[in-house]
Amino acid sequence: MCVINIQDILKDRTYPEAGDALYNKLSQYIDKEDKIVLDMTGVDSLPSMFLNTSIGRFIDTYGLDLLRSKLSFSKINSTQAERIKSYIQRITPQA
Amino acid sequence: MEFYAHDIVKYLKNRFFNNKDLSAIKQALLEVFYNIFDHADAQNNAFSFMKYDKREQVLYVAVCDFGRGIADSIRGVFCDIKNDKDALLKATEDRVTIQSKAHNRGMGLGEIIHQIQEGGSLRILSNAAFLVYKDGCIEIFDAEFNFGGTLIYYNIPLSNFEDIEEIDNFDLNF
Repeated sequence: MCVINIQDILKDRTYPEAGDALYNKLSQYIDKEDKIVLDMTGVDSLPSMFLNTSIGRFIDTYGLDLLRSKLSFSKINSTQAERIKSYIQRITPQA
Repeated sequence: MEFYAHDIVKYLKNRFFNNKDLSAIKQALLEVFYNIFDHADAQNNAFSFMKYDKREQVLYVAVCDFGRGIADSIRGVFCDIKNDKDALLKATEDRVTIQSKAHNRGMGLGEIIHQIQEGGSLRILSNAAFLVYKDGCIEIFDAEFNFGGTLIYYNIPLSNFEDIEEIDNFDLNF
């Protein structure tokens, strides 16, 4: 299992750049780790331009099933959790 | 613009809502600002006005640009759309994008609407179309004049925002 700190990813980057950086990290770990945990400590918003280039791109490349089986979030507030759920449902209507 | 959105939320938290989860405010502002800078072709110029009514506990936000306009941008890509009303309505659908930037996926306007909670409302004036979102419903009208650009204004009641609640572990099994 590996943990990625999202606040570190967001630091000194625009949201689209941070999303790209997260996607690259996920791609790097996807074959090596059984579980990837995104630590959301201190993250107070997840705008679409961040989710598009990270989660959305991950789903395009690897599929929703792999996202569900590999990814989870820790220390996330309930609003952000709801937002991620809504984003995934809206971008993949079959979800 | 990211700092601007961050500072507004920080101000509201420090002054009025210390333990409330105000992330929806930042989220909506970021979506509006990115919408302008990604799509409006307004030479990176935009104007915003915000007011917090302490008595009513409502935040009023207006953001305007004098760029191309949402309806015109949509009609430039979806050539079968014949009027600005249909074009503006089309822009609110998820996964509809003119793909101005690589990171666009057509989720922004829907996300703004998503942040307008119970009791709030959103209005968009763009080109010759005027959209109103309230109580979960979208209505679309012909504007009385052609607005060269886009004006988005909305209000969000903050009184029913919930306290911050942290979850230790969140899986995507839904």
